[in-house]
Amino acid sequence: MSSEKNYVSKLEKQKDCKVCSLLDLPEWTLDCILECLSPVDLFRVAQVCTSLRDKTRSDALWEKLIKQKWGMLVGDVAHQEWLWHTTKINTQSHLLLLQNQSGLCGSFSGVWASLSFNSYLENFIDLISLFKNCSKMALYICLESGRFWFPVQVYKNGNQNLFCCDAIVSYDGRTNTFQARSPRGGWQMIEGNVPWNRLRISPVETSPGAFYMSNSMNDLKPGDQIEIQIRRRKDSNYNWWYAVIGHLETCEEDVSQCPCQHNDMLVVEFKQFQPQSRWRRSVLNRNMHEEQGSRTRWLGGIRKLDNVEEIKRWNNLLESR
Amino acid sequence: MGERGEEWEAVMLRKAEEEESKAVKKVKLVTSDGVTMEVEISTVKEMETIQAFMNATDTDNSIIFPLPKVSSHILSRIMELMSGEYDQELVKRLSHEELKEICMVANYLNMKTLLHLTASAIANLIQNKSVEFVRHFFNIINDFTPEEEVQLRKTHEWAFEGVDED
Repeated sequence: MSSEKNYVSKLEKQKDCKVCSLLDLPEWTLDCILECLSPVDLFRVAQVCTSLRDKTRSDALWEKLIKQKWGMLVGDVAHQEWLWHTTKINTQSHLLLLQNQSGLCGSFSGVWASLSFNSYLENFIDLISLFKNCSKMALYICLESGRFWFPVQVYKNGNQNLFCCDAIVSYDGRTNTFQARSPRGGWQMIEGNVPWNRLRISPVETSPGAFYMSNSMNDLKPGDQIEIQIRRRKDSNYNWWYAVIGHLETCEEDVSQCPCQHNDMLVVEFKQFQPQSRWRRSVLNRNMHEEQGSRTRWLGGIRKLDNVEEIKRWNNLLESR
Repeated sequence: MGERGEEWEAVMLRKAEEEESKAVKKVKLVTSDGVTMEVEISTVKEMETIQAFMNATDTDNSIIFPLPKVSSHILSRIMELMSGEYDQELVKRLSHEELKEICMVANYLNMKTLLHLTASAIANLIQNKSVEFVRHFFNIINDFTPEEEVQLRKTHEWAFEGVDED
């Protein structure tokens, strides 16, 4: 069918279209109805006619839906990454995008046009037209279909391990789980089938390789629950380890008169290791605001945990071992 | 005596005021099929369109308000819903046509509670239904070109699994 003929037939259809129903209602009444619908229902309603298609694509509707399902994992950073990708794609020529796509799609090696610092967008060619005019709906689709790899932290709870590491993840709707890749060189797969409850939004803005500057170093006292950055090599990324502030060896652990809080040295205890393990305790100097440690164990900044939910989560992981 | 007289006067005045407010003003609504329904002024309060008119005219006489877009059937359904305090069960008993018409009237008379109620009822109704069902329900003709339809289907592929029978 030629496009001209197409256009004529479309006009005729529109002329015949005696819309005398709910489409005559003011915008916000229809919005009321649309707001009650699930994403899948909205997609279906979008296929009814062009007018409803356009109404179901409003950013306001999709922003709400994204918050509902993805709010706990997709934070400001992921939104910024999304913006970075879509802006870049919107300003690139279609031809260039196609070339890129055919050459490197699916590969995480090398620097690709759509691989930003912390995220990756794949298989997006048929969605390009949506990026410009309905960016929020496009984001929802890309999250739901696993095309957008976005930054989160993964709780790792292995044999001797209990920590959180930075990763980019992609959702798999069939299993309702995620695939995770490490941001370290090559973006290698670190885990598949990761459930929702083993992921979190990074609680800090510091990049994975940078020392976290804490403002609570001088207030830390025995019993405080913390997360501390640890890395094996100076050139690798930090992971966040759960730990508890302990007492100095000289201390008699009488809480009411305990001097540990005022000592320059700070004891960090890792409950995930056996008491006799050499990894169980580390001693830090509070006044050194830089990385401390030795070969195979470098300790970075400390985040004091105040949020009850956060502490509960770590403890649940500890207990489940 | 003088003091008592003043007291007496005050009591009478209050009584008169009370009586005035007790004498419930009625509003006559004339529907599209020529039926006149007399409703209490409190009922009209929720119909912001009529309320605005009443505020503007401020008359003691009973008011006649024509509703050329509302049938007597639909108006009585709305009265039922209002007196039933917008019970969801009552809404479920409405036919599709009634539901749509009530939603339109709720919009026309600017009745916010009723509008939200019917809007969510309509949303419930079209949940998990086929495109054809929605088209029929909304009384809309498909104005997509075949190319546009293909394009849409591609974008929303996964919306088509597990659709209810109409």
